[in-house]
Amino acid sequence: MLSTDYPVIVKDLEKVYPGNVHALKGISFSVRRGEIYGLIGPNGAGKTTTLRIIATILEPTRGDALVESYSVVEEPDRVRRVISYLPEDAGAYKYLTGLEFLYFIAGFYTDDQDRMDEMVREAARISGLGDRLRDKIKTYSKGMLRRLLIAKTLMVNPRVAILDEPTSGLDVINATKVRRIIKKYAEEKGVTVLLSSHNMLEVEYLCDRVGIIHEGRIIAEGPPRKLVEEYNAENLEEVFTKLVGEELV
Amino acid sequence: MKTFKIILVKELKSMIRDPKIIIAMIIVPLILTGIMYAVMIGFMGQVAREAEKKGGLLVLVDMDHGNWTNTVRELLRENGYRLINASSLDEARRILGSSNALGALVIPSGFSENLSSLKPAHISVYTVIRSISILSFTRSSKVLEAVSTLSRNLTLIVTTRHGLPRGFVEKPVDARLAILLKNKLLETRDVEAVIGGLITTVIIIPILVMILSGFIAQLSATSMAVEKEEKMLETLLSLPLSRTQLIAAKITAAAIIGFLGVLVYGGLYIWFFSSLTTVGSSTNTSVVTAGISALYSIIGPYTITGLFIALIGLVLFILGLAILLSLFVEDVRSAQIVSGYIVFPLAILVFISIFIDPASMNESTRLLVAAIPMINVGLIIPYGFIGDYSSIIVAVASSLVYAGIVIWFTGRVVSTEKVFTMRLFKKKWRLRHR
Ligand SMILES: Nc1ncnc2c1ncn2[C@@H]1O[C@H](COP(=O)(O)OP(=O)(O)OP(=O)(O)O)[C@@H](O)[C@H]1O
Ligand SMILES: [Mg+2]
Repeated sequence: MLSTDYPVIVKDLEKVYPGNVHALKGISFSVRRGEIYGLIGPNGAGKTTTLRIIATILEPTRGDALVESYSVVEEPDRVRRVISYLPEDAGAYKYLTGLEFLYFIAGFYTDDQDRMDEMVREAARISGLGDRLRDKIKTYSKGMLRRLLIAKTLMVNPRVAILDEPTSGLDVINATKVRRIIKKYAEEKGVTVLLSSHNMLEVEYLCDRVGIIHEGRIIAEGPPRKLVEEYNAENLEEVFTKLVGEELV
Repeated sequence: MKTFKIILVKELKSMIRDPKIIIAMIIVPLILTGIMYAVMIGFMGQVAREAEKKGGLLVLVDMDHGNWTNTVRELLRENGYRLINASSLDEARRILGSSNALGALVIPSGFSENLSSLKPAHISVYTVIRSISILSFTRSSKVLEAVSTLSRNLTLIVTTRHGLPRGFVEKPVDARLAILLKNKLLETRDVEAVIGGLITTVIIIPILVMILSGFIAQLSATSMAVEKEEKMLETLLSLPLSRTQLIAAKITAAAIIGFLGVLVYGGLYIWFFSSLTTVGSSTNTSVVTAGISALYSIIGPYTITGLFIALIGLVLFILGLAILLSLFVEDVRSAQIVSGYIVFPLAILVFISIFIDPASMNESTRLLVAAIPMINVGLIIPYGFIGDYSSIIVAVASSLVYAGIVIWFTGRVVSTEKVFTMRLFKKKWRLRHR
């Protein structure tokens, strides 16, 4: 498997939290360049843990992940330069304005003022927040905040964007907006996207391939349509219940 | 230095815009000091006026019935006292109970005879303490003052009758005071003021340092917790930034705002205490200044430089501790509580240093004590005073070493996942359901 074709390669990832919580029990998958890959699974399956390890927030107990061929264990500093991460439960500094926040983030990725302006313009376009970017973030609604955060993640034009439940807590309209943003951006820029979700519809719409994760293991993987065919189901949701149901019985 | 600059600017912007910080830093101290000032000035002023007021009501029990008692009466009236006569001690007590008289003077029989034959005489003085308050004590002391004035006047009358010169009688031996501050000679009439000046200089430093470090500990502890409360820590840790610079920027921002706070607080307190002393007594400030400059010339620039460096070490030590602890709490409120936990015991250590007398310890004990955190900084001036420079070096070095250890350790913790998985106050981990 060449890392030029696969910007993300995850190998036998295990994570044991303090208190002997075995969150990941050997997870392996790879993401192709330019594709949108979705990790789906129920609450507590281990999606956030996996993404946090790839985003260098947590250290794996065993195994490794390569991002653009840099190991998250050996070279986390290099990994941080090629990724952009949106945590599941992220916020922003409420006493800064949207614009100030975007410049704050952009500053870590470039020293060039023109490049920074360009990033922030891009973010303004992605978020669609317009003049509200001049207001303090504490005046934003949840949907506006999430759009701002999606924009800050994508504007830096990362090699790999890692999005943990990008539409969590959003209403149908805002969620649809966010999905369109992600899909459009990934197509335009050819960015590799790794995201997590437990919304099957969202995943069917967005992802080229998905990995179904359950109790710390990947129990099925493939393009959504193919999985539906394989398991002789109506949709991904049914695939999921079939898989988990079989295991539980 | 990129990370440092970006984080510093962000920190300062957020802090200045955060109304909680403005309130804590400027409005609360202003109000507190204002109230304290009004209360103390009002009270001290009243005490001072009461003490200055001549005279008052006195009960006089005359058991002598001699010719000198009339002189006593006249002298007391001249000094502004009003007199009520009582025939016995019992009656005097009744009057004291029912009036607001300052006290009672009992002139025993034989008083006039003694004075006429140039023998010392006595007057019994009864004062009343009606309540436990400074005001009530001031009133009692006024009775004694009445007697001592009376006594002076009587002496004058007696001695001039016998032809002795007035000046000699008033002050047969006059004290000219001088203080030998180590080997510097300081001539003064007001020993208390000089000692007061010296002690204030020694005590004010620990106090200001504690206020400063309390402030900065709060701010730096909060600034890490704010990242968690604003849900930015995870984002921050995934950015391509230097973690050492992140910590350094946070410490710097806290130090800048903290110093501003100390300027406000420190300025207010200095003004507050100096105005108290001018109301209370007529302390001669030039004497205090002389005391301080004499102190400076003894301890010398090396001690002052040492003190300055050690203070920087101490502030960094407290900051590092505050940030380290705040890494493991979840929100701003617990961060503030935690920073309180560290500042209070450390404040106690600094205050212990005020009561330690280095001159009474042997050299090895001094060196040992100089290595105790917090106490070491408080002892630098006393060490400089006795000229123990090796202990000063140990104190300065140890305060820098403690700071270094704490900051190094904090940096280590921030670059591991412990920031994320460790909790100081353990909560039961539950599955999150949405
Ligand atoms: N800091 C932690 N300490 C201990 N256990 C943890 C910690 N974080 C997560 N876990 C446990 O690890 C397991 C996986 O959690 P994770 O957050 O990765 O799940 P998830 O798939 O993201 O779930 P959700 O859909 O609810 O976000 C869970 O059992 C969880 O309780
Ligand atoms: Mg999750």
